[in-house]
Amino acid sequence: MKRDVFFVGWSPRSALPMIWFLGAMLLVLAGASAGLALALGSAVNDPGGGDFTGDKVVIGVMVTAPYPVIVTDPSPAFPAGHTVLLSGGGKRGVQDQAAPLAGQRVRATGAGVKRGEIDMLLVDTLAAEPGNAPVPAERDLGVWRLSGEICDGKCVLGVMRPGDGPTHKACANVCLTGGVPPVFVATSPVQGTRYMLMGDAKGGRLPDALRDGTGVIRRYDGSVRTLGDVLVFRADVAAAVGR
Amino acid sequence: MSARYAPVGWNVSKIVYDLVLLGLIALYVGLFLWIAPMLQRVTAPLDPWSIRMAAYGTCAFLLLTLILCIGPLARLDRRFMPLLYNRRHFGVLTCAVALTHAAYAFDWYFMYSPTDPYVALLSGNTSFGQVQGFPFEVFGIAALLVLTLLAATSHDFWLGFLTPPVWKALHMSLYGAYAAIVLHVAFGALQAARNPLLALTVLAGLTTVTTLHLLAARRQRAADGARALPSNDPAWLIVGPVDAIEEDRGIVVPIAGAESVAIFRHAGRLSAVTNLCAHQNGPLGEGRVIDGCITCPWHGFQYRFEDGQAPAPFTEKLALYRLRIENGQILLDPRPQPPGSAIEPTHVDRARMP
Ligand code: FES
Repeated sequence: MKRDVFFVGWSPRSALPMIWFLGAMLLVLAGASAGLALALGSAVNDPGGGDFTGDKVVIGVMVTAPYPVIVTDPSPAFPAGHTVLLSGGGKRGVQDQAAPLAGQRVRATGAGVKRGEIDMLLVDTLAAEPGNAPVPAERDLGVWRLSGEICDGKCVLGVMRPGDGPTHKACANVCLTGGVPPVFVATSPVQGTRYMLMGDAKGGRLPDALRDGTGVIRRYDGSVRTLGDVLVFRADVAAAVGR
Repeated sequence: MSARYAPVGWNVSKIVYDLVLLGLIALYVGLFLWIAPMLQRVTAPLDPWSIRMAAYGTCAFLLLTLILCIGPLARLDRRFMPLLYNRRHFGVLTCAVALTHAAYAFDWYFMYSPTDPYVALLSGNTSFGQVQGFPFEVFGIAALLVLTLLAATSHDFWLGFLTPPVWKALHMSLYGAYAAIVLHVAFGALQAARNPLLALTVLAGLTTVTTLHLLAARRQRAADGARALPSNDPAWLIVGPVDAIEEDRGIVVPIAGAESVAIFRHAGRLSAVTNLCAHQNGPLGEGRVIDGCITCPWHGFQYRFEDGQAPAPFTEKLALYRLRIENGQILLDPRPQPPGSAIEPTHVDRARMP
């Protein structure tokens, strides 16, 4: 039987002698498709938490270095001295809108994103707000050697899940180039948190050279400071590159 | 078959083939997108774009693995021949699935930034000097370009335009695309995966494709007729006994330094033609004689047993070879006659057999 089968496409009847075989093959293929879809579709990495928190109004003092943040006034939404990272729509930062408002009391609206204790606002509107607000004093927590991953703050806080790891590396770089604040995710906590805003050793924007380190775990030396209630990791670029 | 080009020459087999394939893709993608997320153990669900990327990406890998298994499977067991019949549609659908994966990745990772998305795609990651975080996208782009080129040239128009040997050589680059996809996954998703299932799936796919090709090659070597031997007359080669060929079947005769020849037996006569089908150079000697026509095992192109010409309205012609029978042995003149030149089939003359 098996020896005699000869299928000719334009003659569907030629498939009749092997119809049972073809039926069994179809069942195997359907079973394998279903099994693999369920297995591969469920065996995903846990992207961790992080999600949108709805529309927010943030009022407080604007700090623009290393990246724009608002350190909040007390309000029903936020406690006093809480730091909210600022990002624009898409893969853009808000440096241009924030720069003229540096050190001033501001009011920002937009969509909130939160992961753990870190908040970010995807800014819709940003304007000066009457009244004064003192720029918070930074506290130097000393020099640290930290292992961790440089992520773009927007994705890793929950806009994308997963928003970290090697497959997300190019996206993270595009975000960082666009001005989205980088968040360093340390492998072990510093003062109770693994998530830190990141800047260069002088407290400026992250240099391009560090972008080989996005998406992968690396070790960096640098100083850690407070900015409101977030930590800022000022990585020593010269020491970090090439690690 | 070849009288004129139609967008697709549909028939029942092709429709059933395509429906089954679309059904399997829908089953896989549907379960991946809508049922599997309920089984994930995660703090918060993955975003829909990432799930779609994974669904269409893994689907394209599995489809391509299956495509590459069809050739050797059909060699090992003829009951897989129906899979081979419409393999080009399979390839085009696979390309569409891969493009869907790429479109979601492009939209999610490279759009909505101040940088032009195509510039972002090429400049987003340039860490070529490291394994972890290597720009795995380049392998995916390379595979996608090959798949798109193959899908675009899959039509019979291109087959005719490029000629079957060139077309076939071009379509062998599918193996390159598969290698590129394996690298794309190895340097991308596998670098991030904490669960070994994806790695095991890729490894199993790769191993299956390789093993089936090795088995099929071994079977092919064993199945190929013995090489034709020189005879006393330098113009003729000894093929073997007439009785080695069954009625309405053929044998493949490898010729040193030249194309193999297919010899068929039908109604007490023998006819020798090139082993290369004029369509896609399929192995004619593995075909049958049906309705008095030599019929190719791949897509069923037919050529008259008597003169190697496709019946009207088709126009293909095969090169024929001269045969002689002496003492029950087939003798073959290995010089192909110009296609279309008539050679009378050789009568199997039992009286002259020993
Ligand atoms: S190769 Fe397609 S019919 Fe022969």
